[in-house]
Order: sequence, then structure tokens, then C-alpha cells
Amino acid sequence: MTEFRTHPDPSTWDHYVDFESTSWPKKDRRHYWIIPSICFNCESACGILAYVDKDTLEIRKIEGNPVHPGSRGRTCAKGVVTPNQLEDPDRILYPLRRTGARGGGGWERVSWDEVLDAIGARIRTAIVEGRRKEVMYHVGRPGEDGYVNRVLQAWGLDGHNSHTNVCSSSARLGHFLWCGADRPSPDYANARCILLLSSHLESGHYFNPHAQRIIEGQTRGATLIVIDPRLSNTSAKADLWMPANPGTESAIILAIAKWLIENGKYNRAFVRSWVNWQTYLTECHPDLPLTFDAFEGALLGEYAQFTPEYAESETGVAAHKIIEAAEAIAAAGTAFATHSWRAAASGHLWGWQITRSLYFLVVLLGAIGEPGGVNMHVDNKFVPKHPMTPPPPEYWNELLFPKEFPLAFHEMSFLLPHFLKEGRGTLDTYFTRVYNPLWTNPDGFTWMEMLQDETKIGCHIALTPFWSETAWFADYVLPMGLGTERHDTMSQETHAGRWLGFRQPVKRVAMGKRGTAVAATHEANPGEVWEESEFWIALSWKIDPDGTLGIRTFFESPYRPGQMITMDEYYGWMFENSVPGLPEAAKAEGRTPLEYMRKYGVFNVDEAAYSKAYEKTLSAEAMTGASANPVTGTIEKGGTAVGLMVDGLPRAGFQTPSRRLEFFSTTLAEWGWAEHAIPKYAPGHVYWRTLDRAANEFDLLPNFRLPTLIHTRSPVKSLYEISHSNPLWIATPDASTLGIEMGDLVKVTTRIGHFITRAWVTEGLRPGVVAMSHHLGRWRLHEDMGERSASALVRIARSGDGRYEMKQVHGVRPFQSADPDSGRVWWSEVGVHQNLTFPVQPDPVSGMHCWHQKVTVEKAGPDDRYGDVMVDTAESHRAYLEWMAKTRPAPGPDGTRRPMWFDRPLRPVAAAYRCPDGPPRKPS
Amino acid sequence: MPNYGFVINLKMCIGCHACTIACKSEHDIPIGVNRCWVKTVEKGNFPDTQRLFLPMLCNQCEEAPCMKICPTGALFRRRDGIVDLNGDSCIGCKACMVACPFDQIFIDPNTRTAEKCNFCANRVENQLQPSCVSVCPTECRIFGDLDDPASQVAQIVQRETFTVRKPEKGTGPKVFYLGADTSAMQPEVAARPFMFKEGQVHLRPLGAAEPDPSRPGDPRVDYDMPHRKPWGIDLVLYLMLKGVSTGALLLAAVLWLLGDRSSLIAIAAPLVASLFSAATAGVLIRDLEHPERFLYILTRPNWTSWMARGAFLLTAHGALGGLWFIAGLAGWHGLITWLAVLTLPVALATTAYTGFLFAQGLARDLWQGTHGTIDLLAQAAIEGAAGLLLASLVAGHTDDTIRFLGWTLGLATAMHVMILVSEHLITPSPTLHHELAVRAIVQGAFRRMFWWGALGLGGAVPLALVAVAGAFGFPLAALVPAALIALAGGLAWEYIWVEAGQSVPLS
Repeated sequence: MTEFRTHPDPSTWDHYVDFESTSWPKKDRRHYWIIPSICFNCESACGILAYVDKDTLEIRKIEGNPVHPGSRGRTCAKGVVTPNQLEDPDRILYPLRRTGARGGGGWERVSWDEVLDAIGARIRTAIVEGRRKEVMYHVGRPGEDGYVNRVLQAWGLDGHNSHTNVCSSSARLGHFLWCGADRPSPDYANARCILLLSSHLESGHYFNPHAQRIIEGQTRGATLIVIDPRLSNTSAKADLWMPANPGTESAIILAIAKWLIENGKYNRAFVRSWVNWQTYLTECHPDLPLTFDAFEGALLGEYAQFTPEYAESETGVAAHKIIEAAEAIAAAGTAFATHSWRAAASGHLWGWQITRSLYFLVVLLGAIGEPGGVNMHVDNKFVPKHPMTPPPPEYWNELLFPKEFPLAFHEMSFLLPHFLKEGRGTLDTYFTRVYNPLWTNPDGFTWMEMLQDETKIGCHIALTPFWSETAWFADYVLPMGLGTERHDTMSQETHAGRWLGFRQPVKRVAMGKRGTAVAATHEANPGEVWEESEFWIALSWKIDPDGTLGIRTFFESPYRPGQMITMDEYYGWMFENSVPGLPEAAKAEGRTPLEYMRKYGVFNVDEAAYSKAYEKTLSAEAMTGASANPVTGTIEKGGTAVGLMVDGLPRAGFQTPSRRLEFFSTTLAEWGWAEHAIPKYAPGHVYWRTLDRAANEFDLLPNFRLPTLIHTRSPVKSLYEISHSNPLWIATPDASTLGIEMGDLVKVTTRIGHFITRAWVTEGLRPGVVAMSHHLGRWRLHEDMGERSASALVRIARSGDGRYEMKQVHGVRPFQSADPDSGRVWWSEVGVHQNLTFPVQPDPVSGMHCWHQKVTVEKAGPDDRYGDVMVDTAESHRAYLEWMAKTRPAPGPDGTRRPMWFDRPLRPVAAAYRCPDGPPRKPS
Repeated sequence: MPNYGFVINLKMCIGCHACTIACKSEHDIPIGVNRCWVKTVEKGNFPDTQRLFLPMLCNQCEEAPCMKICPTGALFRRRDGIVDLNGDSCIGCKACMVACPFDQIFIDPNTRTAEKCNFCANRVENQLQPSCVSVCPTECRIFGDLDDPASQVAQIVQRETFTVRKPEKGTGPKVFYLGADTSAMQPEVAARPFMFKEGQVHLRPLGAAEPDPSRPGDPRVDYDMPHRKPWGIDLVLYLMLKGVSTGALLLAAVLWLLGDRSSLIAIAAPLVASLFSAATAGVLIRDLEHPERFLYILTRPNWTSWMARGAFLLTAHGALGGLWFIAGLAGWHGLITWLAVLTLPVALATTAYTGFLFAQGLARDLWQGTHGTIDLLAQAAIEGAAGLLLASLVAGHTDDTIRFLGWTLGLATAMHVMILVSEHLITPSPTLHHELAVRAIVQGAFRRMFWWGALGLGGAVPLALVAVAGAFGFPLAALVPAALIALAGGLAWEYIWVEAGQSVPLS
């Protein structure tokens, strides 16, 4: 019997001979180096293998890396297309500097030396003049762990801005408030029941690694339950699909929680030991005895309303299905895995309460750190220490974390243009890095205004492999490498294990194998494409050429004092010094740690890792000088909670202020949100009961993703061929009421404008909801500069009062390029940019943009054309102010801007947490 | 030797298209065409709605219709059972695309040869799984040796309830599906909308069922990537030109043997036959993606292919016509008699083989059965008679000959009409595929051309004219318009026959 391998064995990777498929059945042999890297097309960090032709150094194809424990040799469609990206005819290959007005479309090619000199001098001046806060780095999905944070830290900047508040902040906050870790790591493969509030089988946060394990779990007998108003591919695979009214998901979850409690199907011992029920009783029921029985009774009283019938009336999901789900969840016991990332949590005001309710189930079952249960991401993700850690920044950047949002889980990134509009600050130098805020964020025209205003942003530098709507409004467009053209380290909590992945420029590695000396990655990359890691080092040397600012030292070789650090030295140091087990594993193969990582692209740090740290018994030494609170059991030492007494034993507990799983969040109570202190059903800002259906009001679900697209990162021909437009999903009865047929143009009106798109009529959607994928609707302002196979050419007109009108000149057309496929492009409509018409809607607690929109839908009029967009930015600013009024600003009870236990992506010194003005808020 | 096959567990397929893209990357497949792809179907009323995914790839059939029809043997079976393709031998006639019931073959715009999935034979020889298997996130695809009882595929195929695509075609597919639903497996069941949920419809087969807005829960295709229909106007012209050629020579042979020695029969008829058979060859060569390789069909013939057999018949027929013409000019009447005797079987076979060729297009139910062949004979009689009637305008002839041709035109038209009516209006369709094709003809995209063109111009009008002419003793002047109109109507029907036959979705 022939055993078929999934991939060539690693022992053959340096001399792999393959039959060329295109001349088959002739047996043309091609010789390859197979060089591993990490995919750059989402955050899953799947392992990939590049087949580098030994003669031409061309990357023939990309496959999964079988050694990688997360992706296990498999990739999604997005991983395989990397060569298409490399050869994209519209790729930017040289640094460009704008000529004429910003956004005017004039560009000239410049040398990297000029670029580095100019930007380095700018940043140096800002630092020297004490204007550090005017330098900002804004990243989409980072695709790396810690590298740029370290750079910013070395520069002394509190200047890290992210996209997380349009992505996952509410999902994170809901989890974090329970246990101090900002996201779960479900052990899907071993689960007996999987409950998803996300579409993990097509997009999810981490699509490929999670999808494979969810199906593995289901194949082994797990029940897959999905709550989603839309028939996603994930809903389609569910054993039980519960299409709840959007924003009402908590009603189902709390009904399940109540069912578990009243039927005695929950893990009573676990809850009694680890949940802060004492605090809940003290705060909410001081009249009750401080016993667990009393807590149980109070809990049933708290959620008494959540009968399956009530949940049905709120959610539209039949009560019997809710009971069926509860039974499956109860039967799973501790093997209950769940996740919510973008979907419901990102959609709604109080979306973090949906996640919080969801993890209530995990806590009730005691499924934390159990096989088939849910780990904390920190136990399944490995971030190594980088060389030479700089000190944290010493100030607080109000443009990132303004005091209105003390509990915002990440930077208030999408409000930046409104902050600048209000005069809260200006930016001297603004980097956007593989990030397209103008397109991705709500209210894009306000972004466009900000990017065009040179008094607000002195210099905008777009680091990007491709043209984007944002890059068009840059001063410099600097081409950066793709997944096989750069160094990064990356790790994700893909399963109950821990690994470290290494992204590398495979052609550079191949040139090294061939004996060609390569000093920098851009020598191996096409055109003058750099890799960011080397860019930051070179730029840092320009900022501090003589070392007097104390910056350069962090970019010097640890091996050759005073010399610029190389990639080999940077990652060599990291792999030698901060990856446990790697030096030994490398030595066993007769390699250095760096050689090991270059060979395999990944290191398996832990085969199996379950979150059991909370059970750890504190040593006598740790207990010296510590004392336990008699009511809560929390062990404090030197004013800091360090553990928890459980049944007379000192345990480590969780990373929360009480060291317990916080059913009652003291933090929320103390920071002004007492009404939300426990998991709660709070319908969102678009609640079906308040929609005027007679006036054609709908709930627009605009944030679902497709398994085939790479956000705004790159249009790829073979992916666009499958998915290229985002029609409006509308339920059959709604379409028939409105007289809309499949393919008709429809007008969707939001608070600040409207857009015109096509209707796709379906039975796979809850009536009253309309839905649109957030991927598509890319546009460009110049015929030849932009992604011609994926964007529409548009004209934008502005009237004096801040009203914008976008019209498509034409959709995609076939064009001539070195790739004959360019002339075969057969699609023309590439979607509509709906986000332009959305006002910002920051959740006052998590800071998350609440994506759902209340819209009216009607048939388009005779003058409406596909792709028309109209927006009133004055109205969008009014909407911003209304949402800002919902906030409850810092300071907190201890006079800080933010609870000390709330981390930040780039955490400044503790002193910066102090609020300089205003009296401390009274505890509510 | 092994016998490779696939099992695809649809319960595990999440419709992510990784297989599609991995295949494109492995084999450098351009946009617009696919060796493998994933069709999706939505069915059911909310909230009991479902989306089905169906990954499709070549079945490497036991009885591969593509191999049978390939005129040059470019498609061949490897010893491990894989049906592979040698592009260097492919002339681009697209017959394989007509034959494959699964729409798994296409013309690669880069190489202009046929292309199809070969289970990644290039990888299999390196003991590697096919790329779609290796990439699949959920491992829903299993590849292995069906003849090895220890292999997973063999065990599943023995124990589990599986389905294959279109078992009724009898081709012996070797891709076995677990958990399949008819609405996805049978391409005619689900309606085909004019847009998909993620974009435009690339190629929508004209005869596909349209969604019925009053029945929203009925299955509907959400995504599919059918290939361009292989045959077009060249094949329509081929039918017409060859019909005139063989029909004319056939009728001439009969008349010659009945004693007609007019110049119409001795010279004009073989001239018409020769010119039209040359034109027939011309349009056939023009239709090839690699016209410069047309001789391969004679130098590397695959004897199971009716296209190869036909090429030889057509050559023989052309040669007979040419010789006859020379003999006619030279006045070698004895030789013409011999040629006429030979012509009877050769021209008959040259007429009829097309029916067998189209029937070898196993994918197209409209073309199955014997009526197509019989109709071709009727049409050849119409077209040959028409050709000779027109030639009579300039060539010497007898009144008896015209009368004979008039009767032939009338009777053949009547027969053709009877076949059309019986096959498309009376006899119930044997399959859903056939029914869709007939619906396209009678009520759908081709209805005007059918009723006004094929039945009107091709039937009622010439029949009426011939009848009127008959009442007046068949004057040539009265028959010429009938002949011209019959030819136009015939062309309409030939267009419908070619197009409607290919209008039904196969995937």
C-alpha cells in the first residue's frame, strides 16, 4: 500500500525535486528549496512553505507547513494566493513621494535614502522639541508580536494605534472582566459541545486552525451550536442554528444559564471555589447570609425572567431549540468550548455583555483549562522577549485613550479624525501600516478630510504593499514586503498548545543557500520593496545617528557593539535567549536556534497547554507577609492581590483584582457602570422592538466576512473571481413587501447618508435584518494607480457644507499587463463601500465601534446608480457628539485614567495612569 | 496496479474554496476556468434554511466518455486508473467537453488545449496527496487506492452509504460523496439565479431553471463556475454544409443508378458535394483551438472516437465527390457508376456518423438516442435535394429529376417535422436534463427560433410550397423558393440542436 504524504518530508526540503505540473505528462524536473514562512494574509499565522526554484529563484507555489502545530500543513484559500500577490501587476515597487496637493494624485519616485533622511529628521525634531505625542503608528492587523511596540518604546512614544476597536474590543472586554485574559482559546478538537457566536468556519479569529478543529470536534461527536441571524457557512454546518434577533443573543445565553442552574446541571463546586459570589452578595444582597446557597438563590432570582419562552419572545428562536441547546451544553460538562469575536459582540452597544454572558456559561460549567473546554489565550500563545527591552513611555497619549473612555479596551482609533477635528491635538508624523483606515473605519469621508488637512497631519507615511484608499492621501507611499518577503515572529492561541512561528524572506534565504551574500531583504525583494523590520532599524539610526537621544542603542548589535543590528542577530538573539527548549532542540539537530527556525519556520513550545495556573498553590515564601480577606478570600501582599484562599489552601487564582472569576465586576461598579456589574441582557442600539417596520426600518448587519478575502490588504485575482461584490442580503418576505426582486438596485439610508447596491434575496436571514459583507466595495481615484482588478474608478464631489457624493465612473474592466489573466477579468461590479455611510458609534465602556446600523431600505430611484454613496459629514460629527455624551469619563475611584489592571497594547509607566486633573469619581 | 479514487465527506466540507485555489496554484490555471471548484446550494425556508457545499473534480471514470470521444488519444488512462491528458496531442476540438457529463474539462486559454483534473498525477508519482487534499483545512477529502482493501477510501466505499455524480450515465465515477443531497448533486434540480451572493454569474447555462419567487425555499445555486459551452456556430455550419454535401451526392448516386446522365448529376452534383465537403472540413478546422494540428486526427486517430472515424469518412466522401466530378468532366461514365455504388454506403455513413458523434457527447441528453441520426438522414435529404434544385438553375437536368427532387424535399421535410414534433412535443423526456433542454427549445430561449424557424421555415412553409408546386407538376421555379426556405429552416434547427443540447447545466 502506497502511503501518500501530505507534504515533502522536511529532510528533503533543501533538495526537493518536483515534476512541473504545467508540462505534465512530460516529466520535467524542477529543483526547489522548500523554505518555510508564516502567512501574512490574516492573523492566524498559519505555517506556509514556499517552493523556491533553484534556477530562477521564483516562488512556484505556496503550501501549508506540515511541521506547524497550529495549521498542521493546511491553509485556507488566502494562504495559497501569496504568489498572486507577489506578482500583482498593480503592486507598488518603489518608494513614492507626493507632488502637489495631498490626495491630488501627483507622485514621484524617490530613493530610500531620501525617505529615511526626511522622515528620520522629522521624528528627531519632534522628539527633541518634546512633541513625542505628535508621532503615531497606526496598524491594522499587525502580523507580528512585539517588534514595532519595541521600536515605539525605544523612541519613547505612546504612539501605538490599532484597529482593535473596530474589530474585537467588546469581545475582549467581556472575557477580560471575568478572568483578566482578553480572549479565550477554545479546545475545539476535544469539545463535546461547541457554541459559536462567530462565523469561525469561514472567517473567525483564527479561521483555518480553528475551522479544522471545530470540524474535528464535530466529527468526533461534539454538538455544534451557532447563534447568528444569518445563515453563515458556520450556521450551515451547525447541528443547531439559532438565528436570534441581532443584539438579543444574551437572552438565549442567560436562559441557558438559568436552565443549567435551576436544573442543577452546573459545576457547583467550581463556581463556589472560584467565582466572586461573596462580593456579589455583599454588594447586591447585603441582607442575605454570606453562603453559597444564598448566592444560588439570588442568582435564580436575578435571572428569573429568563425562561426559554421569554428568550423566544426576545430572540425569535423557538424555546424548544433553546432547551435543546441547554441540554447539549449541560451534557458537555467541562468539555464545552465557545467563542465570540466579531459578530454579535462587535455589532451592538453593550456587545461586551454578550461575551460576558457567554463566558458565564463557561464559568458555570467549570470548563476553564479543561480538555475540550476553554483556555486563556495567554497560555496558548507564546511571545518571546525581544532583544534589549526599552523602558515604557512616560506619558499618556489622550488621542489614543481619552478620558471619556477609561475602560476602552483598545485605542479609540476610529475616533481619531473627530478628535483632530475638535482640536484635541495634531499629528506631526503619522504612519499607517498595511492599514486602510479611510476604507475600513466608519465615516471614511471624515477620515479623508483629516488626511487631506496638512494642519492636522504634517506628514502621512503609508507602509503598504499595494495602493489603498488611504495610501492615496499619503505624503510617502513606502512599499513593504508580503508574507514571503519579511521577518516577523508570530504566535496565536490556535489550540491547547503553544508555538512560535517565524516569518522569513524566502528568496533572501534561498540566495543565502546559493551563496549570494545578501545584506538586506530589499536586495532579494522585487523592485525596491523593503521589509519593515529593517526599515525601523534604519529609521531609528536616522533619528538618533550619534546615539545621543538614547534610541540608537536599542538598534545596535548585541554581538558587535556600536554596529547596526542585522536580522540574523535580532532573531538569532531572540531564539537563543527567550524561547524555552529551542536551543536544546536545535542543538539536537546540530543547528543553531536561528538555523532551526530558518529550517522549520516554527517551534513547538508546548505540545499541550491547559490553563490551570489558577489552581497553583502559593508557596510558603510567597505567602510570607501576605494576608487573606476574611470575606472574599483574596490574598493581598503589599497592597496587591496575589492569590486566593480556596478551602483553606492558598491558590494563585485569576488575574483579576479579586483573583476570582468576577461575576460581579467591582471595576465596572466603581467606574460608573454599576448597572452592568453582572452579566446582563442589554439590547443594543438597534433593537428590533424599536424598529419602525412600517417605515421600512431595518437592522443592517454590515460586519460579516468571507473565507476568500483578505480584508483590504490585497485584491487577488483568483480570490476576486470567487467573491467580488457584496450585495445586500434581504429576507424573502421583506423583499416581497418592498417589491424588491433579486438583483434590483436598492437604496440603503443610514443616519448620515445612503448608498445604492443590489439586493440578494434569501431565506437564509432573519426577516427585519439586512446584511452586507464588509469586505468589498474598493475604489480608486486614478485609472492606473490602484487595484484595477478589484476596485471601481470613482469621482468624489464635495459641497461646502461637508456633504460628499461618490459616483462610480466604471467598475472593473479587463486590462493589459504582464499577466495574461488581467485581460480575462470577467467581473465588473466589485461591491459598494457601505462603511462611508456609517457614523461612529463608540460603545461607552469598551470603546468598540458598534457596527450595526438602523437603516431604511427602499427600491432605488430612476437616477440612482450602482455604487452611489452620499454622506453628510456634519451629521456624522453630530452623531459622534451624541455617542460621546453616553460616556462616563475618568478619573476612577483611585484618581487614575484607567484601572491599573487594564493593560494597554503599549503600556506606559504606572505614573502615566494617574489622571492629572479632576477629582476622583465617587464609587457608585 | 493501484486504482485511485476520492472520498469527499460533505458533512465536513465548510465551503472555504481552499481546494479551488490550491488547484489553481498547483497547475497554474487561469481565471475563468477551473479543474476543481465548490458549488453551493441554498435550500429551505427560514429558519430551516440550509446551505450545501459540493466540491467537484474529475471523476476519472471507469468508462471515461472523454477518452472514447477524443479523436487523437490525447486523453489516456494511466496504469493507476487516472485519466490524464497529453496537451501536445490535443487539437482543441472540444469533443471531450461535449462528452464529459460533469463539466470537468475546459480549454485552457494559455495553452489552448483541453485541461482537466488528473488527481495531481504529477504529485501522486512523488507519493504526495493531490493538492486539494493536502490543503483542505477540515480533511474532508480522502485520496487513495480503491483496489487496496487496507486503504481508507476502499473501506469507506465498502461500508458507507455513498453517492456519485450522475450514476445513470454509467461512466463509473471514482469520486464518492458521503452525505450528499440531490439538490446539489443533480445539476438540473436547483434553480440558477442571475447573480450570486458574492458576485456576478460568470456563465449561466441558457436552459437552467430560473428561481420561482413564489417558492423561495426551493433549492437555488449560490455559487457555481460552469465552463463555456464547447460547440457553437462552426458546428452548426458543419451540420448544414455536410448535409448539403452528403445529401447531394447520395441523391445523385441514386439518380445516376436510376439512369440519369444529365450534367446535373454527372458534374454539378459532385461539384456541389466536393465544394461543400471542403467547406465542411474548413469549418471543422476553424473550430479547432489548434487548427495547425488538424492532421493529427488522421495521423494519430483514436478508433473509438466518432470524430476520428468521421474524419476518415468525410475524407473518403470528399474523395469520391472529387473523383466523380473529374470523371464527369472527362465523361468516364463507367467509372461514375462504380463511384455511385461506393457513394451509397459512404455518403450514408458520412451523414449518419454525426448522429453517433453527437450521441458520444454523453453529457448532452438531447443528443442521445437514434432519432438524431434518423433526423440527420432526413435533413441530408432535404439539404441535398435543395442543393441539387439550386444547382439545377445552372446545370442541365430532366423534369423527372426535378420531380424526384421535389418529392424528396417534401417527404424528407415531412419526416424531419415528424421527428421534431414527436421528439420535442409528444414523447415524454427520459431525463430531467432532456426535459430542460426541450423546455428551452419549446418554451425557453430558443422558442421563437423553434416555432418560426425550425417548424415554420423548416417545415410548414416548404411543405406548403412543395405541395403547391406538386399540384402544378413541380416546376423548378416553384421549388427553388421552397429549397431556399427549407435550407434556412434547417439551419435554424441545426442551431437549436447544437445550442439547446448544450444549454443545460452539467455541474
